[in-house]
Amino acid sequence: MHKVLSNKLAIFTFVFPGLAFFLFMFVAPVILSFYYSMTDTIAPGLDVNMVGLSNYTELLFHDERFWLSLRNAILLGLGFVLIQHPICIFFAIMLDRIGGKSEKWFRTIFFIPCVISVVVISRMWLTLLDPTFGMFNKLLSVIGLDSLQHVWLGDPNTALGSLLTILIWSGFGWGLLFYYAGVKGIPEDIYEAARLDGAVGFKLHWKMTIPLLKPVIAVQMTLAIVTALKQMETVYLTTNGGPGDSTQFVAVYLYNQAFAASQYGYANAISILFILVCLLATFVSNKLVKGDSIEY
Amino acid sequence: MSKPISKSLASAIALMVAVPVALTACGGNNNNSNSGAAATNSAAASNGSGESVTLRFFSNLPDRKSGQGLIEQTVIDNYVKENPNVKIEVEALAEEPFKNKLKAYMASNEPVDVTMVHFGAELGTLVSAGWIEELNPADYEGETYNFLPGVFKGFTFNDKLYGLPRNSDYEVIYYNKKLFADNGIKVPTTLDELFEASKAFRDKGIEPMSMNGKDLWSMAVMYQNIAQRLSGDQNSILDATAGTKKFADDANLLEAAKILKRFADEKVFNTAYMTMDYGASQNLFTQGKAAMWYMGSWEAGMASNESLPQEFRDNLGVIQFPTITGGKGIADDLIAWNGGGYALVKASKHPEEAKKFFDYMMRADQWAKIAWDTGAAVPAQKYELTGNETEVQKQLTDILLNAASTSGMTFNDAGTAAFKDASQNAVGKLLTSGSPEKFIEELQAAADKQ
Amino acid sequence: MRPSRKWMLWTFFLLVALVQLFPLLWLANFSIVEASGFFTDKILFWPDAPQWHNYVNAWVDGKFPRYLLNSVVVSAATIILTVVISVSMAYAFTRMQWKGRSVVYSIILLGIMIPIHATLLPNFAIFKELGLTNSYWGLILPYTAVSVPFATFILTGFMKSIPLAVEESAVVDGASIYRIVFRIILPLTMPAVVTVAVSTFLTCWNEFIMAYTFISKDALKTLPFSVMNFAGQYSSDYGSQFAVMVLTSIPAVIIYAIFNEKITKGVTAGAVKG
Repeated sequence: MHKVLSNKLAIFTFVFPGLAFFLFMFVAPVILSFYYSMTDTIAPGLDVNMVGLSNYTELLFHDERFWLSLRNAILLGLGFVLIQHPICIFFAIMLDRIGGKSEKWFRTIFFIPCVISVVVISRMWLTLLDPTFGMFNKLLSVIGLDSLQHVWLGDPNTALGSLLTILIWSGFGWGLLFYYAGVKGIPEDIYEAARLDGAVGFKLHWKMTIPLLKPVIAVQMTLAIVTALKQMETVYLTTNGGPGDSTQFVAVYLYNQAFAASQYGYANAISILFILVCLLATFVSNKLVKGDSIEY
Repeated sequence: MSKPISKSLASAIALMVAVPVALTACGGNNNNSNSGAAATNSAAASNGSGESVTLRFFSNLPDRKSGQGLIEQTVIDNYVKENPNVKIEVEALAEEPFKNKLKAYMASNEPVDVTMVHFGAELGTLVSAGWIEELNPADYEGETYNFLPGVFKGFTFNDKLYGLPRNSDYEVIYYNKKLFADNGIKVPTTLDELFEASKAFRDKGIEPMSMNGKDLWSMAVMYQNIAQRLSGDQNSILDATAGTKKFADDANLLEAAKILKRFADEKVFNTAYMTMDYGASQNLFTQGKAAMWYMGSWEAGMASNESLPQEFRDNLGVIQFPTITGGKGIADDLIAWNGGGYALVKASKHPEEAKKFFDYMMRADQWAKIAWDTGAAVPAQKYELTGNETEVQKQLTDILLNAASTSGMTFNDAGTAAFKDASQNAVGKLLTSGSPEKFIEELQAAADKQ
Repeated sequence: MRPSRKWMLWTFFLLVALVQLFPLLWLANFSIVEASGFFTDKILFWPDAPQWHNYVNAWVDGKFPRYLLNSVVVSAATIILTVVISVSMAYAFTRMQWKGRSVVYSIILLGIMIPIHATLLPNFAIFKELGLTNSYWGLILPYTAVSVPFATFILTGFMKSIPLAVEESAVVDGASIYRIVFRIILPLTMPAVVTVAVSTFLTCWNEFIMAYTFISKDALKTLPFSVMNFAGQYSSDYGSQFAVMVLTSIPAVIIYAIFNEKITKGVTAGAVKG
């Protein structure tokens, strides 16, 4: 047994392709990116002027837009962690309680937005939230809340919030699925025991379910923060960072700097800092949530 | 320096209109009159030197069935018909994806043969990347091409020509006559009237002016338009962009920022303008939901586009950007430039065939003539009135003919790509959360970085 | 649960289900409404003259069949590659004994954290050098690279739950390691493999930024591009735009409906313990 499982050739065959993919698709570009980040080139493969770390100092000390986009990512991440995930956890628990055929049906319906292409989602919400003919404002008017009608994505004060709503709508299903899986993984006899101790309803879940879900929560929170940082497509296709940078995100900023502004070297400096920030965020959130997970 | 150019441009057209018949040779019955050139091509083809080639053509006009996309496709079809050995593969993307993809092609030295390009910042980047083939201006003199004087400005870098313009672009306000008439609102000629009209439309629940705010450039051009109306000086903002003076030196530039901000504060623009791209803003206007649309002369084709509602087309009118009381600029001063055009790509695998096609396309009897005849654009070449013009075309022609001065460039395109990005972003900020003073500072900072 | 509370829960769930579905119903509804109908006050309605030809526009001018085929080819190849690579890696990470296994596992998981957009620019240059742009590989390779870390994560979690006894008997029977992995373990991991396959499918089916940066030949483009480009082509015709969006969404919804149960099962077994 041991001999088979420590077969060096087999291990190599199993791990090498994946590792090679990783090196080719992640490491090599990052190295190349680092090289370009120290130049002022307008596009790869063209005249290169080494400028040392000046792109980085510019970025860190003089570029408001970069910091603004990080701030937006953090706000979005907080939105995910404080709004989306509690909702997902709540629904996961309730879904488990509701039982029967309806459990399956609701689960299926809740997940459907997750399978829709981000291009479709973005264009659809752009029209839904359009103040002139969008369904959302019409709906408000039908239920007599005309006063709440608003230019949701076009007002710097509500643009980020609207974006969060779109992302919660479209990402709800995935979060729910993982928490639901976690809830299903909790053995029924643990609940029985808790009930015998007199815990019911909300208290039961607060005391029993949530702590038992901790490993799932830990992973999901980290993913949520990384998702917020990596946000690109939905923003790019709805507001493109506007109005007035109020929904600027690092990936959008980086893309536009590289393509629209032809500041390729500078854009690569953003890339490198972006990766560092993502890794740092992962590390921190791992430390924060993992702390004292319960084994069962 | 723009004044003499505009004068000669105007007089050139005036001459055209005055003596249309004399020039029939270059226009007229298109297919027959080119038979000379065409025959040479097909002769070359049948002589074996023209083994079959496929040219790659990159365009920003995805709609190939109406408007400018149709002109482009018609020219291509004409050429292919005359040169059966040539196939032309068209890749057409919508404006914003097109711009990004173009940069990617430049970076990878993609062997496209002929590409659409935008003047100024964009073409400048492509040229400095060495992706674009230089042209010899002498090749494009004379009646075969009939380019208007001064139209190469945005395509010339270090005194070398890198592309040819396809249109004469100038900014106007399209308006819906019926909406104005039905609501008893006066068509504005001054800024105050414009604000009054907007207020009146707002009260009636109609969007006053549609604006593609997501794209930002339209508002940057409007800023330049306002500044010109104040100062009466076309060059001030361009000089500041070029760094020969400061943005703060001209008080009108600050004042113009304040006025542009008023447009937003008084809700002149449609409510959702900040998330509207080109198509969406156009749709709002063409569906009769907005009374005005601030856009360029290249939209002349709306009047003859059959996919638009008949009622809208019958009521489409054009006005000049309003004057400002106390300002030195007059209504006949135009923010005009030659923005869109075509260029040859150095990396082309068939440079000779590509140039042949390029030259064919730019002939006065191809793009320019078809553009004018179909009413889809105002060409950058001499054209003759056919008598079948739409009302909109006539109005646009009048505006161009009467131009007292033209800017030649838009300021956001007059610098580097980075300047364009930064200045347009500054406009977006000004209209949402920023202050006019901060705006001027940001423009200055962007200009200093160049 | 008391009946009254059950009803409350039901109502609440129905409401949320409506919120999740309504935008899509609206999309489908307005895909047959003519352009001027968009400014109606009604929220959902059956148009007097349903514009079915919007779907013809979408199908023909949107080149739907062509892009559909490309999406299918790219997705299928990516799924196969991803599954083979991640199953073998997951096996090496859970069962096999070797030095540095946890380090390599962490490195692979970093792939989830690294933003793909940061690698977009240099990858474009690299792909160009290797001649991968303008081929299916130009999409299959990056999609696989993006999918593998998450797939390995899910599969590793799942394999931990399979009892070791399974292999022990196989080893006794003298089966080779490859036979064990692909003939014995793979079938047992099926629920997780389906989860991975479906999530990979969704990635490929919906991704657009790489698709439109890396691919320029029209013949190779995938469906999301069709939506993007169609929006430019029919910029004033929302109905047709909506029709192409509906068409693009249908295959993904069908695939999901078929594999719905299996996805849940796969996640249930794999995700809990991280």
